[in-house]
Amino acid sequence: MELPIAKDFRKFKGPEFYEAEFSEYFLLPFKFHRINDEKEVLVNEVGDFLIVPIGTARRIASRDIQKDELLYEDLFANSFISNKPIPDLIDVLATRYRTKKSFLDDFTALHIFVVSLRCNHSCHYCQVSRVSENRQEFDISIEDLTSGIEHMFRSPSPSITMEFQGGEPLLAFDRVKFGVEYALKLNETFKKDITFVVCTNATVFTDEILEFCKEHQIIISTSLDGPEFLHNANRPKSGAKSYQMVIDGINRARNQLGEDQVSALMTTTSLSLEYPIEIIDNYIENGFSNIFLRPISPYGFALKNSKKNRYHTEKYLEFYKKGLKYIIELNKQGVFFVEDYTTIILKKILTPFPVSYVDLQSPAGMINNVVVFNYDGYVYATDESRMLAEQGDFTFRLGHVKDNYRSIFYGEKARFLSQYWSNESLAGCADCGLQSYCGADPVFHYAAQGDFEGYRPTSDFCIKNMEIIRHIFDLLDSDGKALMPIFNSWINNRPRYQ
Amino acid sequence: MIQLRTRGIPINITETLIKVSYINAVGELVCFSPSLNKTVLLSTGVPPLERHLVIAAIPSLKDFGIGDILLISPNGTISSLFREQSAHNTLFITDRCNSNCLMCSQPPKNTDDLDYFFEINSQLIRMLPPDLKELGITGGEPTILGSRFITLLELITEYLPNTAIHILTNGRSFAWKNVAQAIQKVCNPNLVFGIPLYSDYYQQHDYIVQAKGAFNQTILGFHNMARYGQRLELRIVLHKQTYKRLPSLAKYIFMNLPFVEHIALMGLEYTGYTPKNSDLLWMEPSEYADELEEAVSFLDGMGLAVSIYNLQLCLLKPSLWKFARKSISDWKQEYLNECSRCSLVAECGGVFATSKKHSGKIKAIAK
Amino acid sequence: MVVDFLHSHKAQLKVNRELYGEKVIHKCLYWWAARLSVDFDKDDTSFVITLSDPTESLNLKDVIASMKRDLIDFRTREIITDETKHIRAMLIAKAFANDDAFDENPPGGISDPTGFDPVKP
Repeated sequence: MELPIAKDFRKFKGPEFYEAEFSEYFLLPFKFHRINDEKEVLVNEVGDFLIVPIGTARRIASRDIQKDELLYEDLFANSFISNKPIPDLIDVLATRYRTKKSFLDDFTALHIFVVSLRCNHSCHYCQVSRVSENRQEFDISIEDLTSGIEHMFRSPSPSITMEFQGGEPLLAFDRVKFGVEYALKLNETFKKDITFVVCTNATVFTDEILEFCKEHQIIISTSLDGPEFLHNANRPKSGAKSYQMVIDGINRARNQLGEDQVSALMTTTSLSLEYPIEIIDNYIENGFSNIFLRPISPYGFALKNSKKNRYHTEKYLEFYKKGLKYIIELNKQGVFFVEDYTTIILKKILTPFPVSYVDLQSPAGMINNVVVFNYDGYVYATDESRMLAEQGDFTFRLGHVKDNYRSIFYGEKARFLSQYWSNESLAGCADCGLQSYCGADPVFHYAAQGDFEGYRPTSDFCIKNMEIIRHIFDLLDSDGKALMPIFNSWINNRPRYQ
Repeated sequence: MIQLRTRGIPINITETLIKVSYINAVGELVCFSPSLNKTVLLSTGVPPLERHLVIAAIPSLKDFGIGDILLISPNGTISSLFREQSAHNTLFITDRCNSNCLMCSQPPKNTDDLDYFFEINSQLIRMLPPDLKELGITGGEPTILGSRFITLLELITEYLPNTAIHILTNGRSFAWKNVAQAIQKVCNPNLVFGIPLYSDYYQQHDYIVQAKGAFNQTILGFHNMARYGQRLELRIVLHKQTYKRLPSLAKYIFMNLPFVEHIALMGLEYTGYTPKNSDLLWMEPSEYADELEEAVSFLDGMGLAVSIYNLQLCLLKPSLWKFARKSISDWKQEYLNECSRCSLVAECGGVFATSKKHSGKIKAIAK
Repeated sequence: MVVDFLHSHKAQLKVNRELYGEKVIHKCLYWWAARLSVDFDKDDTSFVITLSDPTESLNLKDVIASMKRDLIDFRTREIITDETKHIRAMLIAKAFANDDAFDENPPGGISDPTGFDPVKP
């Protein structure tokens, strides 16, 4: 190695000495999307973004950015351009890419067990459980449950979630009990990090059930649709007031299990869309610090009625924006309250970490991160897949719980679906600037458009997510300074320091 | 300020490391040299010679205490290498450095001193109290010591298995995987590497450290070290060349280096190269207060541990007070006259006694 | 681009083939085909696009204005995609490669004036 002359080495040199020598910069992979009349967002391959004036992407591509522009440094530092065809830090980018996709490393984590289709409610939007409370043939058999649990432990994932759904799973509490106990017994050997969740309407708790939940730290995920009139309208129950029952249930569970063991999800109906503020206020009144402003599920509705779906999507977007605006105002006034869907997207936009939310990832969450064992022993790719099955469409049935693991999880069906589960290669998505933050959902597109790939311009999945993500960037652009501390507090789920 | 170096008249002295055993009735320090297996006496007067090795007529011994480890030389100099009462002890590895930072507080030398300091440090590590809480490693650039740097880390792991070790390095060597791998093989979970990063734009970082390619090497170094499971701290010095991109740098750190366990933002120490480059570097901390606040609150909001070093509370926005640490090493720390009237002086880290210039805006904070 | 209004809800666009590739045109039309009836043809020098609005609810002039904008965007996207396809493939290959499959020497010099090489002992 030739040594630099000491004297020259210790002589201070100006900044120009340290500028790499090259005539024209090279492009690195990136995409862009208009976010309002003045700005577009540039997004690189690992999800780093810059909000810039419209036309900047074109200027970058036509080598129009000058070295003395501040933007030049930003583009360089954020890996949009490089001084070499292969940048010196490509390994860092590769590590970042791997990290973003690392939700794939461990394969299926969420295992949903539909232990019973029976329910004590008859909610009009429910696609699956219209069965009266007393018909045992809609409970999963112990044999099938056993096989399902054994499959669950074949997942390579070191941490797994076992989620009990229904119907109302607690009507088949013996199954839940058996499931938890058998899983714990197997886990003595497998030693996985295991979380139990019961999705319940919180109206059928008994001391025995809550004792059991407490003993095994089972998380209670319940449904609360908002104010009493709304909740009761959504969830009719013959001869009883559903709202009062769920609130009593929530309080009872909180008392016995602890505040943070109880969460609530709301189901959005056409009626809910009129009341974003009231729903949020109701969540706050009931002591929750977060809400998931979920879109109307198209499953079970006239799925292929595109006009109705489009109407719901437009209404939902209004509902979401109005709700989000209200929640942001609350946070600005010092109330810590989180909107979950925004937070999922913010995590994708503002952090380098993988976000495994099965409805918005690429490759899609189906099979890769979630699988459903249905009450009748059949295995489905997603929760929505089994809802289609209840309507007589078995497209996303992966097999039977008695089949071997390979044929279910890596079988022909799984391989077929894999053609459509990466938005990187879907028409309309491949060029989209928001691709890194979005996902693929072949089940939805199949159900709504009769086509696994889907046609983006009329896809409600696309219209909804493109607009929500655009809206979040628009907020960051117009009010970023005030919003960043709030958004950070949501991402990290802790009240912000003031 | 504490004097770490003094000189007396040597009598029978060869170069050796000594540890102060006790103070005798006449106030002399009775020390022991393990390598010579002999007692050495340090005195302000002229003690009876007898069979002792002595350094006599030392102006003052007040800054040396029991348990301190000193290096004595045939010419009578005494340098304190370890002070029992201090929480800021360091091993000095070399004066050499492969960077040449504009604001270096201890400018490098181009002399080959690796063997000399290696010998001293190998002895020193064996003499340190095994229950020592913290020990720094500094230079120059310690990794220039090459494989003997690893040897020192192994010695430390053997003799000081419970000591928190904080290593200051420019991290460039870690771009070479063999270096990061060798450190992993030392298997010491108490090592933390403090590595500076001054900008998210390569040219600015390279200019500040006066080394082409340093940015790329440092970033790759961070990644290699993370990959080999090492604990990392990131250090930023605040001055005219770094403040503008501070918020961008904060974002860059979170997106690209989220595995660092601590980020230290440090006020300028006005000594070494800094006075020489004052025009390029010096600015009142109040002038970068906005950028500092944005960067710190972003990193903190994202859940990273952040500290502010070397800046006095009166120069920081109150929102940042909780991040300020008393970071200035005890031997070179002091307060100004103004500080005696300040209600927060007890919580404040004071100023560098070594700095030849302080902010003109240091003002006592009323209750 | 030459625009020829056949009537207020039908127009013919001629796009210079030297300026826009066929792929760019198709990617652009993909997003409009939901709202408009689109016919695509080409002659020696141009792509010939016929747009009609069967619902007669859109202002075709506005549509064509945003379509021009989209064409520029999609051409920009194509430039970026073409120029970066190798680096993107390499990035993804590296991301999913086993540990050291693609290891390279770090960039730049690292010595101080007295000589230092991290690879040598």
